[in-house]
Amino acid sequence: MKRPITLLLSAVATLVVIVAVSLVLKGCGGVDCTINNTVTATLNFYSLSGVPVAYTDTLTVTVVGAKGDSVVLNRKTKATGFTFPLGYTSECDTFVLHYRGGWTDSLFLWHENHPYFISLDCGTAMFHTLTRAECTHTFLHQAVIAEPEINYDGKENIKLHFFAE
Amino acid sequence: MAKKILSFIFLLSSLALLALPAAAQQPTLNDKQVKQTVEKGKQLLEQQKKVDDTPLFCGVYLSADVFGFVYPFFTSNGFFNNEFAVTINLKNRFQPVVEAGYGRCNTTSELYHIRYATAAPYYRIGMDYNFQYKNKKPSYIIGGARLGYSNSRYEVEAPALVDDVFGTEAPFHLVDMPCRAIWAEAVVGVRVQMWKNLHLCWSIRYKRNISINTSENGNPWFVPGFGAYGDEAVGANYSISYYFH
Repeated sequence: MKRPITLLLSAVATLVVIVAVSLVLKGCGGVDCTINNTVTATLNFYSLSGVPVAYTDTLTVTVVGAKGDSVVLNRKTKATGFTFPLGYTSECDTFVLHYRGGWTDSLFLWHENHPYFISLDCGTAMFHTLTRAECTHTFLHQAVIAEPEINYDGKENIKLHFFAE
Repeated sequence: MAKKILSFIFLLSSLALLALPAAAQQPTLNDKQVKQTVEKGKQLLEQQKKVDDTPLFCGVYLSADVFGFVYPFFTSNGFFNNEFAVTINLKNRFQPVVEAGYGRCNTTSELYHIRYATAAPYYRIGMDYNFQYKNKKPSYIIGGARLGYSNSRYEVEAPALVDDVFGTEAPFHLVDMPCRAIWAEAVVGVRVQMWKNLHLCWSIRYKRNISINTSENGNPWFVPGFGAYGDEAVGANYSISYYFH
């Protein structure tokens, strides 16, 4: 016949094991992954004085050297900016902004590439760090790096300033 | 006659003088109180003596965790920790403990075919508290805290990243990625005597990440001694101990 204290301790021990196993198993679940692992940079338009603006006319943006679909933005009106992926192996990517009337501007982005391990459940991705941004000056005044790290944060990475107010 | 009266008065005065010191002493009721106080004091002294009877050094538990061997059967994580512990029993109440173990992980995800591998020792230092120290029983409930440390390196090998826009592929192979981790643990458990000096100890542990370094290539997935990477983790121990005393 076991003593009451032994019985009590056995009961507590069993409870401890049950709680521990359930907590451990629960801790292994609940995976929260992004739907798409492709990382994109975010670019917004600004006036010469730094006020956020929309490009009222139609605008198309393409990427130079694309093997597949090279169109980043297709005949968009009142665009306030756009998001775009960077090359996984290239050091500099070139984007062309096509305005009405055949006018164009080019945007050059230099970047470092970082293969990124998210987790076994969510896979891998390619993150980037912007090192330099330049542009031609048909309608564009300058390209400024706002946040160099391109990842899942969704922060604004580039400010593109037009000459116009 | 007058001589007799004077003699009687003298006798009475002498008796009165003799009785004065006795009247100056405490009455019988106060004696009882003194006796009760002395008895209480004796009892307190005896109780104090009983507490003091517990020596500072009561013994040493040498423990081996077996939950690390059982854990892989419950999950498909592919990692486990195996550890040993030395616990010193002081006053049957305070139990400083040093734990050392080895954490391993070598697993491949079925979904993304990513292989993650690491293996490193880890260490913990802390103290348990016997909540039932007054009972002086070999089986009792404990609570405690730990500070953990591990310094490991991990490897991640994954299929190449395919760039759909530019049509290129970037190989993915991270080697020798450093992972230095410091964490705190809160422990609640039960130690039960099974047979003579052989004890079993069950415990659950809430772990809180204090510092686990990351890199531009991502976070570690498994940290030896801590478990799955994150701000917090929950672990369990089921150890067999031998008590030297």
